[in-house]
Amino acid sequence: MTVLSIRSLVKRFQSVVAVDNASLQTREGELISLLGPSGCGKTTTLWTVAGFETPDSGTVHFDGVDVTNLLPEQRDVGMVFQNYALFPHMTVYANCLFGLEMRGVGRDVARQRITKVLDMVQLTGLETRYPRELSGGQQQRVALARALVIEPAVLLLDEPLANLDAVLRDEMRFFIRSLQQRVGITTLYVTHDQSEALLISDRIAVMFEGRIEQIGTPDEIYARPITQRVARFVGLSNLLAGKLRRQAGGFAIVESSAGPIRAIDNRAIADGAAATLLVRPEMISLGDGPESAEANRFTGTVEDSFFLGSVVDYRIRTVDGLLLQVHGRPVSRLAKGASVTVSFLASATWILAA
Amino acid sequence: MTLAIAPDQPGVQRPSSPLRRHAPFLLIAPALIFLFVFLVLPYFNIIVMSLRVPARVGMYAEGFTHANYARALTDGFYMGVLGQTLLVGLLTTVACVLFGVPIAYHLGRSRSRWSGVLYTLILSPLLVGVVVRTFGWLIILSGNGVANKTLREFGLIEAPLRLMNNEFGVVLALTHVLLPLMILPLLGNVQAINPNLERAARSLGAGRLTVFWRIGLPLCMPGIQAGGILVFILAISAFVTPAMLGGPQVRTMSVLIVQQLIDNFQWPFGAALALILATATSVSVLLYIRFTAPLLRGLR
Repeated sequence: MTVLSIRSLVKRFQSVVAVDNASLQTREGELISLLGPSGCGKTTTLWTVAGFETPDSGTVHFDGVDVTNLLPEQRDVGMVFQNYALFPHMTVYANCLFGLEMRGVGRDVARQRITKVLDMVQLTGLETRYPRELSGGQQQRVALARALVIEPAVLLLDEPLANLDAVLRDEMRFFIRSLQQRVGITTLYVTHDQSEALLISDRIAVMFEGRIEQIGTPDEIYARPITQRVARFVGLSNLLAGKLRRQAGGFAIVESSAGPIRAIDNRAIADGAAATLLVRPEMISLGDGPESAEANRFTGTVEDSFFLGSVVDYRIRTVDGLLLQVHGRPVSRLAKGASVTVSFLASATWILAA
Repeated sequence: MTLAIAPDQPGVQRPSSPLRRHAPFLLIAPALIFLFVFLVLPYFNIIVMSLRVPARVGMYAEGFTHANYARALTDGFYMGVLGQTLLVGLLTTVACVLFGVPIAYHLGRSRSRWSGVLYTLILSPLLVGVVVRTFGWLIILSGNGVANKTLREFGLIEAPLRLMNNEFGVVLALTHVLLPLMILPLLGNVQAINPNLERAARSLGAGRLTVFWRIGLPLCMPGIQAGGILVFILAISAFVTPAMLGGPQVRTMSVLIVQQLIDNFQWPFGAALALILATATSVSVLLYIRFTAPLLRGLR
């Protein structure tokens, strides 16, 4: 298994800086997602690893070996494209064989490896089909098989699920994740879909405007984002402005327009500095909640509510004028205008820089 | 959900006027009438003419005969000319593929601002009338023409080369004018190829040249096939170019047919030759399509 490391990568297109000093290092067999809005430089970063783009500065290393100046065909990568890029004039078998031929693998060994990989992606029996005779999901799996059969050092996936319909996309997330873990291959996965990144990744690198803003496990990214835009991009959020007041006993206080709110102390922010509170809608419960020293409690009225199936999405206006997004269970739905108490624990509340 | 049913929704029965029922036919009727009057009727006329009895005075004599066909098909001279015509068509097509594919591939992939200029240059042979263009080739290719003079001045040759009055001159001039007809269908073809296919091939370990042979070229086959048919048909039926540059050495069927019709006034025999050429062309094209079909698997 390979350690992929990207060091201080910079790529400009004319005056636009596509990638701005991006660095990351995988562990062996790790799947890291590059997550960000379109135009954030995640695909350019991936293409630089694949060798389709040459960086203006910075380097790419596979297991410590600098591959920055190698051509794509000299690097040992398996690549899956958004539109799959299957060779339309070749059968499924020939598509898989192509990379093995280029590596001079003998016919018999190649046959064994293709049979094995097609079995892994559950396409046995479709060897003689042409790509256009396959469904989107099947084409996707051929693309995976073609990339995996060469047993590359690194697997690169560029928005591989973006062209699939919602149901199939959900299935394929689990499929790709379990396949990647079975093969144990170091993987870089580009996506703009935060729920996909949360589900599939060992770690997520969130990118904005060419920079990697935060890199961490899905838990860290979701529960302890370091900036407001990371918080907004991953999951739904209530963000409240205030001033941090550190106190003894573990929790910090943020003085907000609605009074003091208890939250997990973030040591990165100085005592007395401006800060932003983050509490996720599903962390707020309707009702008084447990009697606890760490509970934050507000009263207000239901201003609006939206039924989302598994939850009801409420907008609750507190008496202090805060608008909170709260997710409640869809049983005994509250009517508009109903008075309600909401509460959330300090341990579910995070403090960000302002 | 209940909706007021809009009158134009599919599956909704409604009385159709005769005009509406026949609308598709009415739309293609002008084209059909045009083809009937200017293609089907003349062809019918040619078929009838080819079966007429030749005469010394007048266009033809009384009665019908298949002697015109018998004469053309059994005389080695005419079959030789037919063979030479097909050979010229084949060589021109091959030359157009060899020159056209790299140009189309380059232009289809180029993002240079000069690509517009190249595009215009490719079309330029079509901007000049056939007679003027062929005279141009005469000036260049003749015994003491521009090409031979230049080669001699550089001391590359001593005696002038024979550049015209042979197949070389005819194929050269035909390739020049027919190249755009090869490139244009190919260009659309190349531009429709997803560049990620080439990237995928390279990430699988193929070098640029291998990518071209294994991915680019096979994906160009629909364009090569379409352009090849156009070039072949037009090369075979060309008249002015072989007439002016072929000399007595290269006689093509078109030249011979015009000779029979205009010079010898042998309308029935000329008509028979024309139909033999048309049949040979159709058979060649059908065989061509048949044998190139395996190369298009998965692409259509």
